[in-house]
Amino acid sequence: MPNWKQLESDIFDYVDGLLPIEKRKRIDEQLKNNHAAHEFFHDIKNLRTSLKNLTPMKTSPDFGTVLRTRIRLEKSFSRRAFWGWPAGIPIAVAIGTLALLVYFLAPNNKGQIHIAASQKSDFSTSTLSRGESSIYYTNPNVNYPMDLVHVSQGGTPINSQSRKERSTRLDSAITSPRDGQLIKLEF
Amino acid sequence: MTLMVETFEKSSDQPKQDPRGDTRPTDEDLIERFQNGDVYAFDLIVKRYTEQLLNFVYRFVGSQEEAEDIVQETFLRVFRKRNAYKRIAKFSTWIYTIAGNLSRTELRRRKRRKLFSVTDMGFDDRDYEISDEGFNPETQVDGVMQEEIIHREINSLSPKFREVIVLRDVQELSYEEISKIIKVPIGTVKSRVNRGRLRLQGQLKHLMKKK
Repeated sequence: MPNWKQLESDIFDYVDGLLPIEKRKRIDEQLKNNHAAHEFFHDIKNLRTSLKNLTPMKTSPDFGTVLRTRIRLEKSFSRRAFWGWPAGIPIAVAIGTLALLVYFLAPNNKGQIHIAASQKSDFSTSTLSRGESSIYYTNPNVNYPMDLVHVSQGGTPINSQSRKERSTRLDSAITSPRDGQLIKLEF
Repeated sequence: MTLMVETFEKSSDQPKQDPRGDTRPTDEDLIERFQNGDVYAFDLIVKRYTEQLLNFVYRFVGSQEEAEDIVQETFLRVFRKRNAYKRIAKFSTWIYTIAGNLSRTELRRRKRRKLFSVTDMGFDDRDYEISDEGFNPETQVDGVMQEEIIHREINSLSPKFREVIVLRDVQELSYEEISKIIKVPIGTVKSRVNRGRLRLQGQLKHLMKKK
């Protein structure tokens, strides 16, 4: 008695027309003598016929119109591309670059250029958060406020009263000089 | 769908002589002409493949609307990527591969969406009918009902068996071609086809006996 699995496989090949003539004759003999195999063979053969004869599908009435529209769009889209690329990529790159430039170069509300939060300058010992600007610059090498600066080698302290008086005289000489007046600068 | 067959025939290019003596241009000739700028060759390709691709995709994904969308997308991809085709393989293998990939993508997408609708179980938006135990499947059915039953049973197969059954027994492609389309060895294709047939034979035994 032939192995059923092998017989099954042979029947599939038989139905597919893949068996050589000698083997086909042997299978024919087995099918004559084996009722179950004979039934199985006819089931598979009828199944193949049914599948082959399924009614072919027809397209809907607007299939052609929709396809032509899609192709037309595809054509116009590819025509606008430059450098052989689809148009979307260069446009996206350009928009992205422009957005970055605007972000970094555009002035903020106080007229100052944005400084990235992570940047530290010589004038700041603290990081600024986005959009924040500080008019208080701290320099680790200078002590503030200036009134307390000690000048050991002489000279006039910056905020001294005498300096203020001299500055006032100088300012008025410059802003309203009399004709021929020599402006004497005192330091 | 109106096609530009007449315009193609008036084209200055004469169709090449087919080795069989047939003057009908081969698919490979058409795609080559299309690659060289002959858009009417593309029209002919669409005409030749619309029905067979629709049949394949419809039997594979189970919905006419989605099948039409996938077939259109297949043609769009052929249009877009025409220069990707090389004559070393058959054009039919190439276009079926595109259609098969799109169909499988759709089935995966459907699975991810995890939508379940009883109308999906039916045939073209028919409502799903809970089986009546009193119904005798061996009573006579007309041809349309029979096809509906076959379609439903094909749909009940898992995608890997469904695809090969449709390609082999509905579309009648060779095992070699199916192997190239789905990129599995021929032995695996044959094994899947046979298992699919066994399953269908078991489910449709009552119908087969009538023939």
